Amino acid sequence: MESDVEPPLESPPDEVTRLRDALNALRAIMARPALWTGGEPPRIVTAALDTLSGIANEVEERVAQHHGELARASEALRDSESNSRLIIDSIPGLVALLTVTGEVDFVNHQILDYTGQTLEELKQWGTNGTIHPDDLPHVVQVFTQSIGSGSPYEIEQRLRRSDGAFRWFQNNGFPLRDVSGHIVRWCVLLTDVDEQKRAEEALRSNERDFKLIIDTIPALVWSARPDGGAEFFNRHYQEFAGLSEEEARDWGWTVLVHPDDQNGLAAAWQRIMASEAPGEAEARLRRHDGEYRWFLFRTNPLRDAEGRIVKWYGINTDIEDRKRAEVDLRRAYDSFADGQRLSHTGNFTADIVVDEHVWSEELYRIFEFDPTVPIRVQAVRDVIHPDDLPSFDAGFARSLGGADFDLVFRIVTGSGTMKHVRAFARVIERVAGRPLFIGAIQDVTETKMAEEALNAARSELAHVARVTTLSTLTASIAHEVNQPLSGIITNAGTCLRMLDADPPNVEGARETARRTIRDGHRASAVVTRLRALFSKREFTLEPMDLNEAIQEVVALSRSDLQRNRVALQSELADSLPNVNGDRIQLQQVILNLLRNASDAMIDVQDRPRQLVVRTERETGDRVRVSVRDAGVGIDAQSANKLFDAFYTTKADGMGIGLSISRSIVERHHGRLWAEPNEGPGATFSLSIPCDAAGMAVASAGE
Amino acid sequence: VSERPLVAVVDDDISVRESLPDLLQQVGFAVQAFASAEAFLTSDAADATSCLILDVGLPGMSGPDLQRELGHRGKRVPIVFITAKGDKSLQTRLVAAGAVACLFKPFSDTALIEVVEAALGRR
Repeated sequence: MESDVEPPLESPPDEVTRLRDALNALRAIMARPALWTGGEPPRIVTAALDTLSGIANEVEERVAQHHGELARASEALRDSESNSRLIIDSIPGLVALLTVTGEVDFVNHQILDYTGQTLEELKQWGTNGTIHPDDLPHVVQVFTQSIGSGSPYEIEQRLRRSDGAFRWFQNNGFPLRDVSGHIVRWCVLLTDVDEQKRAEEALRSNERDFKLIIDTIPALVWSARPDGGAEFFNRHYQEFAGLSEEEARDWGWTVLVHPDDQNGLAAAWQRIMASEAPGEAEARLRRHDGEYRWFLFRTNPLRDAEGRIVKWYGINTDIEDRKRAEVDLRRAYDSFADGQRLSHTGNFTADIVVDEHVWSEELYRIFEFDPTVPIRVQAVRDVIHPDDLPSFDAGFARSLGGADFDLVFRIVTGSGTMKHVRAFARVIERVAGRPLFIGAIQDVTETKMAEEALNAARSELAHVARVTTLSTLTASIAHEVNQPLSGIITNAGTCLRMLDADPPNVEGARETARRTIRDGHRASAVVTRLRALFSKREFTLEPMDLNEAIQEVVALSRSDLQRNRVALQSELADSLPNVNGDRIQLQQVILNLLRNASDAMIDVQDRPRQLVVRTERETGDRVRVSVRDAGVGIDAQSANKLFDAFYTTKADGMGIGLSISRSIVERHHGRLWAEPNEGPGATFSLSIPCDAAGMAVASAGE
Repeated sequence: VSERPLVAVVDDDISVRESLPDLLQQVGFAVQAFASAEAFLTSDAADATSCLILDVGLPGMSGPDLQRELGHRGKRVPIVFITAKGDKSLQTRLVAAGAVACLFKPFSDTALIEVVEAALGRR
């Protein structure tokens, strides 16, 4: 290595030597008079020479002294350089020294070790692949520029290791200058930053991944400052809203919130921030196309080491479908509950064995049970009316065998109210061998009450009708009663006269007395029949013979019919089965039909006023009664209206007879209809089930 | 027997046809009973009757019908109507039309005998 400092001098400087030579030559000249013509040199010359000589001596001494200093300095420098090399070689980094022009001049052994190259090879670093080809152009550019300008540089670059692997290094180059400021060398320090670099790279890669995740997850992701102003929105958010991040920033995003949700969301957000805890809220956000969708806003605070909130992170999840489902579900439930409330119907499932029950709200309401208390079979049985328990238990037992449970029974609730309920249930499946019941229970109390009220009204109306009939029948009643009375009185008078005769006609008297008794019975029978017909009483079903009932009615009507010159013909079937009916009400119907038939023929002059009452057994265990007249008849249009209440074709009629008749027949599970005859007149018929079938119908209603 | 005036009874009610003849025979009349107006008209009694006791509400030809029919035939038989319908206006009409009386059932034996005797001009 070359030093720019002169090496210490072994001899005096040339100028001093030449001065001395000149002085010596002058002295020699002066000492030899042959050469010096002037004699003894003047004293001044010798003195000058001495002075010059003295000066030369001083100069020589100073130069020698200076040379000594220089030699010492040079020695120190040599020591220092060797020290520097030691230091450079022991630095745990790669160090190179370059010439002023940038040629590699020295490298420490770490470089040699790392690269596996010689100094000579390293001088070719720009072309021999020492530097990663991707980094080389940049390195060359920066390096060249730096050398040219003399300013330090710093580059990161990959350097090939002896095994061919590249590692990242930080390359710092800086110039070394002499005291006058001139660059004398370049020093290059290469620091291995590979691990750091890879960590950074990994971090960058992670960040890219996170960004990718945040931008692509199907949710609106955002962050906000501690004051609540938003500062970040993921791509999905921006795309959803059709807003840029700038537009949404701070409070810009609130334009997206549905007007109806603005206040609620603002309040929730303030509350969450005040609580400094994670929180959530729901609100509608406007999509870029104008459609609002429901979102669940969730946010968590990020805290610094001191626990201060530095940021809020949030995610908004689209819950529109869930919300709609919720709405649909709620609507469905509401309508279900409304339906249950309106129809007073509750439903249930019951696992009898483990005594677990699920009841609808309405069912709790019907039974007046506390919804928070678990249902037990015993609790249900406890409220059932004791009279209805046996049929309940029997129905329950049947349904365990697979039959449908269908029963109307009474319950007495905790408030003491008695209710009529109708229960339908069946076993739908067996869970682990246990029957699971599903069913519905309807509160039919009102229906029951209405039915009773209707029955009462119907009885009332029927009574009114009977009374109305009564007034028009007064004449025939009087007739019916007066006939036997007349016989009685005449007979009694005759009897007395026979006894008073002389001699008394005892045999005749006995005969008239016998007839008196007979007529008395006859009168009594008439009165009994009338009393039965015109009394107001409850609807009672009992097995009855329709023929017999018809004969009684015919007997009552006979005189009336005769007066109207109606020829009545009875065609009553033999061995007609009994029906289960209310005798008086059915007689009322038949009486009404007979009177209508008679009235219909009142103006008939050109043909017999023929009336036929017929009974017959129909197929399907029903009995039919028909009343056929030869009157004015009916047309098909009025055939239906005939049975409407207050519809009448009679000047003096109320128009309730047929409507009441039909309701009576229908109470007997029968029907009443009218049809025109092929010839003149009309036929009114009623058909009701026979007793056995009637019983079956009645029991089916239970 | 022939001097006993014949009283005819026309009534569809059996107890009347049984009890009235007994009563009338007991007080000295000859009696024939018929169940209908038609039966009376077609019988021999129609011409021999001194007094007709006639029910108003007969099936078929009614009492008033028979009254008119007899009028048409020129037979002036005193008629005593009897009826189970207590209809005053009917009673008035029938008397106005020439009947001797109209009795409402039930009537007493004396009331009947009185009007029959009145019809026969005995009182």
